[in-house]
Amino acid sequence: MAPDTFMDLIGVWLAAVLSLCVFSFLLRDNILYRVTEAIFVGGSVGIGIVLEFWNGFYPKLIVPFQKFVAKAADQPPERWVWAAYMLFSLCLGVLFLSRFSRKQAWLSRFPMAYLIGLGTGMGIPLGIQTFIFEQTKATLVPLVVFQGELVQWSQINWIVTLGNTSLVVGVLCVLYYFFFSFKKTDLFSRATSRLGVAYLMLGFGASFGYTVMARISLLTGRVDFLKEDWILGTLRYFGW
Amino acid sequence: MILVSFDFAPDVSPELTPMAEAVVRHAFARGIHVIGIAAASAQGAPLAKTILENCAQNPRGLYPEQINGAHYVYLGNRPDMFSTLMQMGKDIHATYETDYGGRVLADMPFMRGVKTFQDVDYLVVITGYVGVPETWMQIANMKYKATIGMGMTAVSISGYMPYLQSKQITGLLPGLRGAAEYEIALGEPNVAVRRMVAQLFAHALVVFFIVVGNIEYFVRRRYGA
Repeated sequence: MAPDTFMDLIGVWLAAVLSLCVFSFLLRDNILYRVTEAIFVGGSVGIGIVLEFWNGFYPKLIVPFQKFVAKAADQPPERWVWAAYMLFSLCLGVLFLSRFSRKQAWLSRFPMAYLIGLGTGMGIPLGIQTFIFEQTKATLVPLVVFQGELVQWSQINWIVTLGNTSLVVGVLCVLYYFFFSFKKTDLFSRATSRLGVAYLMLGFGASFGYTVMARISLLTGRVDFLKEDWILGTLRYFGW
Repeated sequence: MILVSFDFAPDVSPELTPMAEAVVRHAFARGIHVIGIAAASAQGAPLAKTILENCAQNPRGLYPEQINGAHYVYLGNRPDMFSTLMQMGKDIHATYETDYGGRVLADMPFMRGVKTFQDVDYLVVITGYVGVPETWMQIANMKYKATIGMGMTAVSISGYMPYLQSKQITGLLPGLRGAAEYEIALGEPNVAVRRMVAQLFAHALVVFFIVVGNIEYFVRRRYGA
């Protein structure tokens, strides 16, 4: 964002100087880089805590509770149950802070157990459905696909057929490669494992290519910021 | 109506902001209402607001200026993504009673008919964090049968290709390349297309080094250096 106000300008300069401090790591590890790293981590945690408070704690707990207390005498029984549940949740959350005391740290196990139990209960059935059942279903594809109703050589959809076949063969070969229950000395085992490795290498190659793209994207973004917002933005701000 | 989840913070912003802008501008150009949230990242919530406002207030001649509360709404972040999505699947208004600016959602005409994920035509999740797409797929797609498309950082894209094949997600934008392709498809090449020039040279350099490294390897093996 190009600076429009004096405060914007200060922000842009601060960001630019900190960016250069991070880039100074390319020469060697140094105090400027370490200070910037500490500022980044501290700033992220600080902002995170403030935002969590104002986005969650305040609107979800404090505001409803204030409204409840203001008309406490007129509240129906179900609202009292709600208030008790909220108080219980608050107490459970406060127990997390017992980690700071060596003697009372065991109390934090209660909210931890509650969270793990809740997460496991909700997550495991959905996880099995999403990552095992659906993925297995997507692998069970016909090896030969026909374009029309007729089962004839001329009706084979070769592109889909090749795609499906390579998918099934790839999955089986990779699974076989990771099957260590017996020694793979025979020709079939070695050939299958080799093919499995080839599939894995294709996957790793794709990941590497995309990783290069991701890192260069971040670099170009930062260089773009330094050129457009910092240098040209400052010049524009002073009317040059 | 689409729901866009800006699940990223400034650390991956150079890669995902062009993509997020392209998606939002496309929706605005088609007259589609946009609900913005930042489900996964509290730190990314102010950034998402800036992106939405920038798209709404700088239409670049593609659409009329969009008004907050009439054409789009930004809801921000709520702590604990898993619980937030679970609750959104049952009642969006109970999860976010107000928008990021504190206005009551029920007062916005276009939000009155939106109760759950089922009332949104398409969910777009733009993220750079491992675990976030899984949570969206588990809850929004698997539990509440919503249709999801994703835009992701390039570094994590190959791990999520299988979900495209299994149709658990119906679209996948890979990093800056995806953003550039989206911009070209919209007929409005912008920052992502410009940055792809640097990508071209960087990739050419990496390919060159790989070739040189391989040649050296075979030469050493042949002549036993």
